[in-house]
Amino acid sequence: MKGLSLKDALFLGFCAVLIIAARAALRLHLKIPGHSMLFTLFFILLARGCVRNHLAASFTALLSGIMALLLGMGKGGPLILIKYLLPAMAVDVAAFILADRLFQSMLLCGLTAMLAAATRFLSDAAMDLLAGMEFTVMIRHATLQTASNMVFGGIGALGVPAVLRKLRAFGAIEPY
Amino acid sequence: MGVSPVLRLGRFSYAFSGGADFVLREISLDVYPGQCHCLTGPSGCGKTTLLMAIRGLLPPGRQDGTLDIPQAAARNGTAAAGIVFQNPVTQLISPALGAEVAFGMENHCIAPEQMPARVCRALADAGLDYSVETPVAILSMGQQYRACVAGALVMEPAIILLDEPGAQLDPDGLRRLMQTIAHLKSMGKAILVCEHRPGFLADVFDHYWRFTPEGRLTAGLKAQVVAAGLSHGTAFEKPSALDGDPPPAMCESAGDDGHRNSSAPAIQALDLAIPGYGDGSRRSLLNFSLAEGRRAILCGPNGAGKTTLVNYLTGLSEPSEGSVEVMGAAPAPGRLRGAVGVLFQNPRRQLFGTTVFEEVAFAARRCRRHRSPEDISVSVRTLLELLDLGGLADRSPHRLSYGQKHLVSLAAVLAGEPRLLILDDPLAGLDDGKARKVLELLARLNEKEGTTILCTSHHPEPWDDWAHLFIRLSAGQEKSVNDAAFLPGNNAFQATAGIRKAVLPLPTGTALVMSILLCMAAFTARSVLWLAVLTGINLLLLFLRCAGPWPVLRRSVRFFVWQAVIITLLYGLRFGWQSGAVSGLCVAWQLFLAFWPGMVFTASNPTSRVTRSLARVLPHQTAFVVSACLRFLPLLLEEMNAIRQAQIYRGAGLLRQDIRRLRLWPDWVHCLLVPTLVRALSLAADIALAAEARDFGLHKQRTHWPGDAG
Repeated sequence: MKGLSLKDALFLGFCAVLIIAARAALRLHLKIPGHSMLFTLFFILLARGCVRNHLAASFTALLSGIMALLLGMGKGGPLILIKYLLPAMAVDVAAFILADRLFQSMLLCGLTAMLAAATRFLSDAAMDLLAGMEFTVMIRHATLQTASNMVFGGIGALGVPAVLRKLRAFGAIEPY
Repeated sequence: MGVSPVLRLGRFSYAFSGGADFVLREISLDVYPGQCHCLTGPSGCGKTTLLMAIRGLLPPGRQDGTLDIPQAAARNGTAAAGIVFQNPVTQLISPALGAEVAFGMENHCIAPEQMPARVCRALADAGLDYSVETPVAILSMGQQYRACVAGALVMEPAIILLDEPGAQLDPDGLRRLMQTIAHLKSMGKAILVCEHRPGFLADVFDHYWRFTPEGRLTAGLKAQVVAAGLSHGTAFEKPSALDGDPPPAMCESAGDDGHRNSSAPAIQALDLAIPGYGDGSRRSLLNFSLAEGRRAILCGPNGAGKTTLVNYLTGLSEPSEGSVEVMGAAPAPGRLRGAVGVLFQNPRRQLFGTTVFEEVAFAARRCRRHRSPEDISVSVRTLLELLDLGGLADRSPHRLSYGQKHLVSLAAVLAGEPRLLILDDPLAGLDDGKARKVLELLARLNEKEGTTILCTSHHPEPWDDWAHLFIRLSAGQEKSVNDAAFLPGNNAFQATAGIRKAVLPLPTGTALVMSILLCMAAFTARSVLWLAVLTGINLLLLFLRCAGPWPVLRRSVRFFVWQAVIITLLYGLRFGWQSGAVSGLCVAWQLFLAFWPGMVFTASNPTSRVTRSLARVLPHQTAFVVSACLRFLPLLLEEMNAIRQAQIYRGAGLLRQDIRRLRLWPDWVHCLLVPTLVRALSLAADIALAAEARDFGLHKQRTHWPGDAG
């Protein structure tokens, strides 16, 4: 990707790997729909906060999708790429508009994450529609999943500013 | 001399961009073919910076003087200089030896048919008599280092740069490396080695240079190396202090220190099986007892199982055979927290404090709660002074040099004042002066406070007069595998891993296209018959393509049931149970068929092969990132686990039972997540450096090693 050093790309790759690892670990213990959004949005926001590239979140999500496909964790299907990409694109857009303010505020991070999680409605609904699901059932199904995604995604994002502050103070990433 | 130099530095100086001062100053050096030059100097004096400058890996900065490699880029498909960094683990990018050595050629777009011959030649020159299909993970540390040397040699460089080989290699690994260097010299290659303790090189180097702390290079005399007591050479044959020569088999030397104490021993190991590197078939049986208030050194070569023993002693893993007791019971972090201090290998990864003082004070605050803040402050500052870190108390530990970080990590463990210290290779990467300081401090702690200490090391000589108990762990001889000739596309890798071959092998690309088509077909299916046909096709593919179909089938059924329950429930609620249940079941079936081909595809194709196939369709940087991250995922998770364990011993609330205590929740972020992210950042930097040192990104396209065709 243009303007992205190999080191940064690899770090985004590790964020993607941590998303997958957290997803795998949680799937073993919890059976609550949408709970994987907690770590997905936490790491996507963190990746964008650490790497100053306008498409860092989308790149992380793309890598997560590819890895989920390769590891057979995405329940198959190339559509998993869209499921990861849509929320990440929302994060990139929010980061573009809000710039560094986004990563300094818990409130903004939480709201961005909820907005990003809401985009999953589109992918969930599209998949159900393609499968020929009845419209009202599809709406209920997607709404149920999206609501849960938003709650977990929002909670996960609240920790991002504190972690970024710590990493900056530690000197591991560049200051604002 | 009639021949021209392969490297010429004329009053070369360098300063990092934004840096106030030069880190390298007026360095003049001529290196001729067939010569070996040795550079030494204290930690942080600029040795690695000079090697990186020669290889062209430094970021743009202020530069004076000349740096010239006359034969650079004389021919296509070669590199001017090859560099091998300290730690081979983060430089091995591919899972198999052949693909690993060929990585540089792939970046130079060398035709695949030319690769095998060059790879085999480079492996022979590096002294690695192994099949190209050998997984790099089963090689010992010394062999992995030589695999990195082969990866540099394959590009036929005029000069090879070696950075601190002595920091990671045991005496046997160093001896073999010395033989490799002698062989390369006889081939006319020039070699430049940076080394803290260059004694093992005394027989092969022609010129010896010392770096001053200001970054200047001064000529030294070869005799100085031995006279200064820097040699490893005399210690190669260090016998066990306990029971003479060990038996020729891979058993241990063991015993106790003869010091009888009425209380239970601090550590007791009985018939403890220690697996060595490789397939686990080589193992040692260990028996020893360490009384309280004594100090012991556990010595053994790379791969002998020293770190495995530390993991057993700290409860990080459980032995498959035999038993181990620490302070009277089986080791468990919950029981030993605060009483035992543990320094894991590469201790720098446990750092998370924003200042050196905060980092060191953490364990003191958590493990010595009864002490006042003033008292803790005084003891922390005293400890920092003892390790020459007093002036760095307010600096971020992340910004310190390699050796300084190592000392901060050690201080952070000592600050908790544990009764038992388990230190895995505490002198790794320290120069002689710092190593001596650490040994003195540990001896003082043992004598004054009665702290029991167990250290591990692969170099026995610094510990000669230090230990009461000397335990030797042997790994036997390096095995030599030369039984698999190179066959492009053979499945030796799977065979060694015990994976059954699929009945219907298909190229990965074809399988991927089939999987996508089946997925799309599922979305167009509108009748039960069509769904049944697709199910049959998928089932057939599952049994023909997957080496182990039953676990995949079980996983698939579980997923289907879970999906079907939710959707049928929703349909039942909307349309009533009679008509809704059937429609819901059909939709769930259809959705499942959209997912199932992907599950079959991933189960039937090894990840390494899929990533290689992806490299043909994705941009090569993206494909590389995916394969590197998947390759290093186990390492990162392992490190995360080790970080957690190390922090628990320093008093962090990272045990399962700590989840109930709200005030300890920040520890999960500060003590575990932040160090893991810092580790991920540094791992990314190391891998990127290793890849760029082998010209990754030189061309827009890459060729591919033919041995792992998809």
